[in-house]
Amino acid sequence: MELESRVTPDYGSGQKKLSIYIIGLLCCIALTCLSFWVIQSSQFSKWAMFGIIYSSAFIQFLVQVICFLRLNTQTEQSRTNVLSLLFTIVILISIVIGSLWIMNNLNYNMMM
Amino acid sequence: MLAQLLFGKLTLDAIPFHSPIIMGAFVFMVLIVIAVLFFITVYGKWAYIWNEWVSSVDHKKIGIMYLILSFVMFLRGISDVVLMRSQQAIAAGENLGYLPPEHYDQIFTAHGVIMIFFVAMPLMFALLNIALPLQIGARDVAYPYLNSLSFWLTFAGAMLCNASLVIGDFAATGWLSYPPLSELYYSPGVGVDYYIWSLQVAGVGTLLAGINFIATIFRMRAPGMSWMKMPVFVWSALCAMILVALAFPVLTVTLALLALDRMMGMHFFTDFAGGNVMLYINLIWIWGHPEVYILILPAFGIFSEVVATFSQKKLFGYTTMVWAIAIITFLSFVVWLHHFFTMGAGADVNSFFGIATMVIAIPTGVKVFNWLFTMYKGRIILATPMLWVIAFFTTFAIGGMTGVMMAVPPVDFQVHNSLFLVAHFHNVIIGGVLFGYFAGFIYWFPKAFGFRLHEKSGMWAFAFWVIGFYVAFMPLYVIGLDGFMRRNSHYANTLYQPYLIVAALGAALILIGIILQILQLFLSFKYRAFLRDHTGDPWNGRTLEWSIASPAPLYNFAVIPSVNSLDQLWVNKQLQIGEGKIHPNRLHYEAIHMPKNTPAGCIIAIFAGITGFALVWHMLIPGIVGLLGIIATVIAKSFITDTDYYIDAETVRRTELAHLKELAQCTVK
Amino acid sequence: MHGEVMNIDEHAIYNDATDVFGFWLYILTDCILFASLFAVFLVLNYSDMPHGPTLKHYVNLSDVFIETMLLLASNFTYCLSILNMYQKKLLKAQVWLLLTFLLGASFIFIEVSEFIHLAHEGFRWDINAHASSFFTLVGTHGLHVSIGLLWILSMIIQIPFLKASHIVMRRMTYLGLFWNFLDIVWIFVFTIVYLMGAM
Repeated sequence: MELESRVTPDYGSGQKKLSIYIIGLLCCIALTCLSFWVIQSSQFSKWAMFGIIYSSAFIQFLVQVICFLRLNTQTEQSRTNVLSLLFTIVILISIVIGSLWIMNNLNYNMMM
Repeated sequence: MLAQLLFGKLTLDAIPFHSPIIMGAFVFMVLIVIAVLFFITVYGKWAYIWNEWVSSVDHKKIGIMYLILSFVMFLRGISDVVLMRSQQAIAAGENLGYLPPEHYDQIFTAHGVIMIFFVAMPLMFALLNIALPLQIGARDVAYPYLNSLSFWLTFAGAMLCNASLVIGDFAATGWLSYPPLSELYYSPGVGVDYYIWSLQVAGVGTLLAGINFIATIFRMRAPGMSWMKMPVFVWSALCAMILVALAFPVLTVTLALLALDRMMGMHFFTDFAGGNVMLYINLIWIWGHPEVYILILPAFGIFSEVVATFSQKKLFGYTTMVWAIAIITFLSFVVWLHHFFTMGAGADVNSFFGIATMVIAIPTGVKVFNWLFTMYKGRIILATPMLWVIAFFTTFAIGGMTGVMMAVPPVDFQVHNSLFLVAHFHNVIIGGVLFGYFAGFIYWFPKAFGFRLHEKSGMWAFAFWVIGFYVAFMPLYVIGLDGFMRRNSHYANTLYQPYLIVAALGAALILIGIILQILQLFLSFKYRAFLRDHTGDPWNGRTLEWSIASPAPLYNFAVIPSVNSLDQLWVNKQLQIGEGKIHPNRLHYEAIHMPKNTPAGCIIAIFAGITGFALVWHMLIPGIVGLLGIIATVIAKSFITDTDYYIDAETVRRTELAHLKELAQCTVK
Repeated sequence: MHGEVMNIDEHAIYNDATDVFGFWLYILTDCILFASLFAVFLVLNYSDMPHGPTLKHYVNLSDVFIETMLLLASNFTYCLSILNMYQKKLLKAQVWLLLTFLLGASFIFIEVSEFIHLAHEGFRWDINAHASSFFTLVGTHGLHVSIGLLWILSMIIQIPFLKASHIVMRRMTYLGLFWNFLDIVWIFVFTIVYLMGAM
């Protein structure tokens, strides 16, 4: 273990293991099938469908980030990676939500 | 058919033979280029230029190239000012002036684009490149090849903008090119396309440079330099680069969507078929507001360095300074709507962004007070860098105050797009960004070139600049409040004219200031032996860049410094550790690992420039050639494994001994 | 940071980690790029009345499901390729890379066919904002995937030349981040564009 970490760089990602990749793959398949089924079956209300597919997308995002990208907080570099991702997400949300709020407001006041 | 594929819309008609001003500028540019090429040939320097500069991956050389680009484009930006101010000074009432509106529109557009993208940004990257790796005790930035590519892409973008002067037109839409004016129907020419592609090419360069500096600051600091022991300039650079990384993709997307509207008939920002013009304005300012903070933060960092050094006193409130920068960085992403209060959002939206804008003034104020407290009871040296800082305090404060005024939506409704706004942003950009970068330029010039700048001419230049600035812009505040709108080539009410004449006089004073700065460069070069920086530390500095020779050796530090505290060099000086106590023969030098130069960055940028030009003129074959050229160069470069070399220990030793000898001789004197 | 001076090998290892961090930063900027495209898509499709044909009429969810599975599978095969590289099994790594390429290429093939079909049906990128934002968002993702495919081919060719050197391992890491990131973006594409479009 000691020798290995001196030989391979610390990319700030967890160990690459086949088992974790397989778990990730199966979770993603399951979540994807869930989302598609919810829409195809059309037995849910609009808000329920909305909630399920967005939650499923968010969970699948986490699965991919943890199982495939192997993001973790073990080493200093990996914590830096996570922190930069979180900050990016905060700004991203501010841009998307901000734009939606502003454009909806503008459309209502200026175009309807 | 082949001609169509090769030349697209480009014909000889694109060259404005009938316009004397443009033809004059063109002839002037060509003569300068020919003169430069002639001198390079006569002195036999082609190999040198190609191997040592074009192919350079050394941050110090890249910084100097950014400086040269910035100054050359500054001359274009200032020419635009002369044209605009003289036009507005005479075009009152019945006099229409000498610039027709279509031409005037291109001038103010080019002025804005050039000053922001091809003067201020390159100047910022110049100073970052010259000083930052040295300040953190590193031998280069994290990605030297990418650094070279970033510079050359910015250069290619600037060249596209210059090409528009002679081949075709530039955009006549204002520096942000709002639709529907910038859509194909209202701007059928190539101007907006030049705008789009020169900014896209330069924008990629900037984004890559942002990533480069973030990685450099995270990963390349000297051992022991923890986060809270970094110079404040490094903190400000880090936050500015984070802003670059997060904001520039939005610019890339927005300009790309505008290009798709123009080239493929899409409907993002059209005023029919579901397009939304206001969406463009929303997106462009999501980029635009962080952009101005990208420009000002490094200037704040420079102020911190200069104030501490020239007050000979530790910077007051280091921790609050760092927090203030971090808070400004975050807040700069939640204020963008203040640029379009008048576009019609409701009171709730306007209030949120108005309050956020006012809040962002608070950490800025904290910083100003900390600088003042640093000066209090310091032993102040009024060298030119410090003069620029002092001018900044009042000038930026006024500009900031007018900004806070406009942060109140009802006030903004009165002065939006008036000369009050124009005066405000020039106030903060010139008073904040430009004064800061001038201070930094003078401060770090010796480190880059080995000799100080001529002080006397510098002081005169400073006087003309500052007085000129106030004379040029204070009248604009007055008539802006009085209702004079921006971007007018002519006005009917002659009562405004005296103010605009005064403003033109102010511009003339600034022009004299610039001529004095050029004179300063000549005099400094002429007297460079006398102005030589023998010690590497001309200002009795506090940070690591002053612990090595001027100009810095190729490898920067022969021995990577070990850092235990903030302002480590100052601490060393107080404790008298360092050169005075070390015997040269007992020093141990090792071979130093360096990256090899490569022309790949320049070659990729040339292909990018060709692609941009081809997109502007719809030239299919050159466009494909350009794109394939970029891809081929990237892939070919990836197969090259011989990318670095070692400077042997003996060369390092000789270089270091030469510096120590010069130091010793200087101390003896 | 490091307390003592590093020797030459440690330097190369440290630099490789720095390089990968830089690529991670690039991926984060690409996140912002896609976020802007998503913001544009949402504004132009959901904040106002429809202006002409919308995606709902044309969307074919089974094709999208197949595309999703193909991309997910290619993500997995790429991870297998990297595992084999770490175990120095170069030929196996190349095989998994080739499989990744084929899966990705199938994804692109279906996507391009879908675009052509939509255009023929009248849902062209220049008829209204809904179409423009759809083609641009999905097309940008497809463009990224296509560049990734070119990169995968380059790696397949490069591996026999440069072997499992630290340079190749570093590049495989970059490509892994890139390819994975594209699958993550696709999660949001199929959810926000197609599933919401079909609701």
